[in-house]
Order: sequence, then structure tokens, then C-alpha cells
Amino acid sequence: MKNYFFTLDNGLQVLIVQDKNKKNGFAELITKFGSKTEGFIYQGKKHSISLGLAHLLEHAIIEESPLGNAANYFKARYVKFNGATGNDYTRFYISDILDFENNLVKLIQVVNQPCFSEECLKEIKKPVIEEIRSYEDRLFLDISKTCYESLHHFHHRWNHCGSIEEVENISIEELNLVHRIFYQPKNQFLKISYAGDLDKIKQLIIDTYQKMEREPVLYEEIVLMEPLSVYQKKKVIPAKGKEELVYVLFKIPTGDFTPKELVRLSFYISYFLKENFSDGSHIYKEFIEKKYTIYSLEKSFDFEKHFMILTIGVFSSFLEEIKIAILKCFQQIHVNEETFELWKKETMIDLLLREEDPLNYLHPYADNILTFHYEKPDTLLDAESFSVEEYRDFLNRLDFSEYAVVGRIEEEKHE
Amino acid sequence: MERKELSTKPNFIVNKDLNTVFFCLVFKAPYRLEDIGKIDVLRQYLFNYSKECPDESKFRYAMIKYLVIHFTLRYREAGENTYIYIRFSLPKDKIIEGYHFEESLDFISRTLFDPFLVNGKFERERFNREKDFLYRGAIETTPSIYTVSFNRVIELLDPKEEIFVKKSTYVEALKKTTEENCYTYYNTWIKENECVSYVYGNFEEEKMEKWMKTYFPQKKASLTFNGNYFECLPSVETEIVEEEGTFRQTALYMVYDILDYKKEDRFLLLLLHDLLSSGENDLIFNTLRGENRLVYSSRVTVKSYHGLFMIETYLNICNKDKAINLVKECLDSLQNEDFLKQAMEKNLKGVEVDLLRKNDTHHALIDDKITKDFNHITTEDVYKAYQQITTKSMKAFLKRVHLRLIYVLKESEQS
Repeated sequence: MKNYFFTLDNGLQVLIVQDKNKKNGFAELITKFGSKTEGFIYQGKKHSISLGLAHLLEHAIIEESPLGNAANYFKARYVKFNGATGNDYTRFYISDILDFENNLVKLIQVVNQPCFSEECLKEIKKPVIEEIRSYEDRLFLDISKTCYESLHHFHHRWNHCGSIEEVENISIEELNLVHRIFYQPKNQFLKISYAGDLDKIKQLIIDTYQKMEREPVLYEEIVLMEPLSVYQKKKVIPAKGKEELVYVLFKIPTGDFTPKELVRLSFYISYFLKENFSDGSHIYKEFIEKKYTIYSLEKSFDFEKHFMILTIGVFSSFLEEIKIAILKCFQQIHVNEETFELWKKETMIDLLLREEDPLNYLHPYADNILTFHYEKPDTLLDAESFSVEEYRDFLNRLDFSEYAVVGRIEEEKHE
Repeated sequence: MERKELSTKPNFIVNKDLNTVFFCLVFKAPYRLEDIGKIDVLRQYLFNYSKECPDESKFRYAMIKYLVIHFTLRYREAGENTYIYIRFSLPKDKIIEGYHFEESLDFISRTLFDPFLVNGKFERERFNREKDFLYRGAIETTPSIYTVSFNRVIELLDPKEEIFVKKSTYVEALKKTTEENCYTYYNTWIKENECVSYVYGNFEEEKMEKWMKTYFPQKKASLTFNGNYFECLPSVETEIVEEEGTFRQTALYMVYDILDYKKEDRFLLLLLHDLLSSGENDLIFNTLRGENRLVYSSRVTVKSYHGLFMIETYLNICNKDKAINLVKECLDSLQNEDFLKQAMEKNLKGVEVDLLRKNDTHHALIDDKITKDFNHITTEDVYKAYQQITTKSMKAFLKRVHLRLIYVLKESEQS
């Protein structure tokens, strides 16, 4: 699949994947600003960002765009469009089969040129507040908050939406300033999958940004350097009739890995979790036999700036037993050469199949750039070069000593 | 009664652009409420153990070894029948060294038709483990606002559960599922049953014909089914029920039925559903969220075989009456000739775009073939039918739309 990655003079990074067989175009404009962004120093003054502002800003950008309500504008043109706020990024995408190039220009304008007004802001907050209320009815809210708090010293940014009070207090001035500061082209990443002429698209993007004449704004981001230790080793909350759960969460430094190594590590970690914690693994069988659980184990990993979070979750009330068994897996890294080779084969097929859909190719490639600062896509050759030796070496370089154990257990079972 | 006959000779569609081959086997079973748990447990059992891999980890490794990409079992109830769809994908032959397509097909066939049995039935311990897994999963979501409110709506609307099934009914059916009755179900409706099969992707037809005969042999030449399963609930006066809840939000359901609903009305109802909840019109969401900001989200569900549609949203109790009136106004607004005409034109254009999008995907051809064969409607059918609908016929239809139930689960006092 043909692809281009380049950075424009204004700092905007652009990744384009071309699939001549697809008529539908897809574009996602990502701003490197999310709910975890702490604050900034501008003209010598410190500004902290309220929790929930990034999310409210995403709503405001959509609803108060130069095109009016952007969601309605795109809907009227049969374009799929939406926005989403994450920890470190805010995303806006279009998917269009009729007039992609024109709507790409509109997407760029929507994200870069909002026109907020006091009156509208009041209105925009109403559904956001309803969204916060719906969050509070979620069955796993308490445990996910506790997990985040246990891992992070700076744990006040545990969700995207903030509280009703925080959202109510966000002013139009704050929104405007934060948008000016963080939504600059140099903080943006545009990923596109399109069948059309790539040089033409590139010129279109350059022209659109040039016409907007955005002056660069100098600022310094306030970054709270999250310590590599966990905040609390153990925390148990009452289940109050909800499903009992145990989580063991590891905070693992990754600072000494190069970008390319981090990409490879992400593949190896997926094998490690599959091998050790999938249905049929030794630990799963042990938990089933001892009736600690009847469910599959939950397993995930996520890369933050200088560390990785690795999570193993079990629907169970046997907190201590589960903790001991999981820690044992991390103390003795078990490698099964036969399953490693099978996993390698599976990964190769997965990479081959990415060619069938440009989006399956585009998204992991963009993740390599955004998450790992590695500016190349995953290739078949990469997968072919995965080895047991490197896997062992990478895992030996990881320090699993910082972990937190979190439980949601009925009160009578508390220690 | 409308009966349809389908040949059991495999349907082939070749697409040499793909790296994969997709299979779909459709089995017909009778629909009985007491069977609803059996298929789910069956899926768990068949896709975790087989005669040659009675151990989950061995089964998992075999799936990777044979490069099985997807392997799913889903079902759909339609009137007197349940259709069981078994789908799987394999890479094309010899895609990587050492991979042989036929061996993988043989593995799939053995997995489906040679399960792990003890004394002529599924092995009890494994079976109960899978059943428990589903049971716990089902009761886990029971305390959520969505399940609590929806269950009450079913109790009020459809107490005999002719259209909807309550979570508690499903749980009871699961409890009664045994390794013995589930095996009988499997043996009758899958192993010894005929199926209609579809193969799509990159393969040689001649070879595939031979393989299908070997691995998925059919005893009968055709399969018949009932294509007409329209069934409506008896008419009732509008019922309004308000109850105290324990959640942060208030749940609001408005259920409408169509008086004297007939088969010919189906596309009119689908069009009404489209106008209310999709594309540019999206009347309910645009009114409740876009214009009045009373809710974060809303959903409109349609049951076109039963002449029903249901509006569901979650909001602040103080906005409840306003929301109810706005929904009613939305429906009334469609009586305006100009407004309706415009809305219908926009919707038709939206369906046209959906068609373009669908035809841009690799699986459009095969998806349409399966959908058509089993009497469901394709986007193309919808497009053709909508072209024939006039504002006059739509307005006459709208006069038969009757509010059957308003259900409100009020938020807790503390909220």
C-alpha cells in the first residue's frame, strides 16, 4: 500500500495511505491535547486546565464552528463525522464517499477556526452534564477510578469528563485561550486514507492552513512528571452488590527503549499476555481449578510517556491468592518456543491482511508515530525477525517491581 | 404461508483481490424460548474444545496453527425459526510457507462435527464452566439502568415475551441447559442438519467444490423455510407508567405501534424509523439533543416484523415532560407535506450514499447474497422501496402510528 508521511513548515504532521480500490475517503485530525494536559505558561503566567475542559472543548469545536454546528453540516452532506477526547489527544474524523477533498478542507477549518460565544457555551454544557450523570450510573466507574488512583501520584485527572461543577465553571476565555495554545498546527497530526491524487491532497492541506493564517503562539506546557512508583500498593473498595473484581496493575519504566524497540516491545507484550494469561494458560487453569473465577482473565497494556501500564484483571474475591499467582508469572518469564513460533505466524498473517483495508494499515501506522515516535509502518520483515532471544532480552529489561493490587470485594470478605 | 426453498449446493463468489476466503454456513432450527440459552453455551463449548483438542490451550494453539482468522457462531430469531450462522475465514491457499488451506478446512470441519464427548454427550465439567461463564455474564449487567428499565418495558409491553426477551428469562433458560439437552440440540440442528453454505474470496471454484463436498457434505438438496413471520401485539390503550428508580439519571421509553399493521407496511415503518433516527433528518436526536439539549444520547429501535418502534433516552427528571412533548411534536411535524417531502428526499439520498459506501467494501457482494436468501432486506431493496413511497402514503401511515406506552424510571431522590 502506497503511503506518505511528511511534516509541513507549520509543524503539522501528515500521514496518507493510498488505496486505489477504495472510493471512500477517511481523514482524522488529531490534536496532541487531551484530558490529561495539566496546564501551560503563557506570557509569563501559569494557567492550569480544569478537568473536563478538553472534552467540553471538543463539543464546543463541533457545535460552534465556522460552518455552524459541524455535525449538522456534515450530516447534511452525507459525511460521517464525530469527535472524541482521550488522555493525550482529541480527535475529529470524517468518512466521505461523495466529495472528500472539499470536506477535508471543512474538517480542517472546523478544528482550527471555532467561534465560541458565551450564550452557546451555556447550551453546550447541558448535554455534557447529562453525559457526566450517565457516567455516574456505570457499573465499573468505582473500580476504574480506584485503579487509576492507585497507579498515579497525579491522579486528579482520572476521567475525561470532569465533574458537573468543574464543567459549569469553565469560561469562554479559558476555552479560547486553550484552543489558541494547543490547537496549533504544530500540535496536530492528520491521518488520511484516500484513493485520489496525493500531491493534490498535500497541496490542498498546505493551502488550507495557509489561508487560515494562524500565527504561532509561544507557550510552555506544564508537565507533572509522574513518578515511576505506584501511588498506593493496595486498595480495596466495597462491592455493594456489584461484581467482585481483583486487579494487579504494573507500572513499568520504558525510558531506555528506543522508538523502534518500543514498537517491537508492544508486539512482544501482546504475546507475553496471550501466553501467560489467556484461556488455557497455566494461571487460568489454576484459577478455574481452585474456583477463584470462572471468567477469562482481563489483560491489557498501555504506553504512557515514560512508562507502560500492564493490567491483569480477574472477576474474583480471592485478592491475596490472585496477587501471589500473578506475581509469580512475572518473576519467572516462561517462554514456549513452539507457541512463540505460532504467534509469529499469526502476526505475519495479521500484517498481510492489513493490506486488504487501508484503515487497518493507517491506524497502526499512525500509532507507531504518535505513541512510539517511530515513523515507519509495521512490515512483514519486522514480524519475521521476531525472536525468542530478543523477546527474552526485552522482558528481562523490564522492571515489574512496581505494582498495585486493587479489589472490589464485599465488605464481609475484607481482611 | 410464504415458503422459500434454498439449494444446499454451496454458493461461490470469487474475488481474486483478497488474501482470504470467507465461509458462512446457515442452519435452520425451530425457535423456542426454552432453547435461547443452548446456542450460547454451544458456541462456548464448540469453540473452546474438540475431540482432538479437549484442552482449551491446545484448541487455542490449533486455531493459530491452522491460521483460522475468524470463527463465530451467531443466531437470529425470525418467527418460528432460529437461523444459526457459522462464519469463519482462512487465508488463501499457500499464503505463507507451510500453510495448506485444505488442512485448515479439515480442522474447521472436525471442530464443528467432531466435538469432545463423554458418554455420548458434552463433557459435564467443561460444559458447566462455559454455562457458568455465560450465567455470571448475564447477571453482571442486571443492575444497570439500561437493563432495569428495559426489563420493565418488556414486562409492560410484551409480558409473554413474544418479541423481546427479558434478561431473567434468558438466565432461567441458561440454568435449564444441560450437557445432555444441549448435545441433543447440537446433534439435531447442526451436526445432522442441512445447511446453506457460502464461500467468498480468493479460491479456485473446482477445488473448492470438491473440498466442500468432503468437509461439509449435505444429505438433502434443498432447505425450506417460512419467509413470512409478521406478528403484532394486540392493540391496547396508551399506558403511562412512572416508577421510582435508584439511578442518577431518569430513563424514558416511548413505545409506538402501528394500528392494523400489515406486511406491506414494512418499508413505511422502516422509512419512519430512518426519518426519526438516521441520516440528515435524525429528528429525535436533533430535537432532544441538538435543539433542546435535554439529553446526551437517544436511540430509536424498530421491530419491522412486529409493527413497533421504541424511543429510549436518559435525562434529568425535570426535562421529562418537555422531552415527551418534543417527541410527539416530531411525529406531528411529519404531517406537514413540505417538511415530509423534504425529509423523504434527504433520506433517499442518504440511502443512495449508503449503497455507494457498502459497494466500496470487500464483503458487499456476499453479505447481500446471504441477506437476500434469508428474506432479509438489502440496502438496494430499501432504496427501491423508498423510491415508491409517496408523501400521501406516508401521511396515511403516520395516522396509524399509536403511542402504546410511556415508561419512566425516575432518578433517585438524592440525584
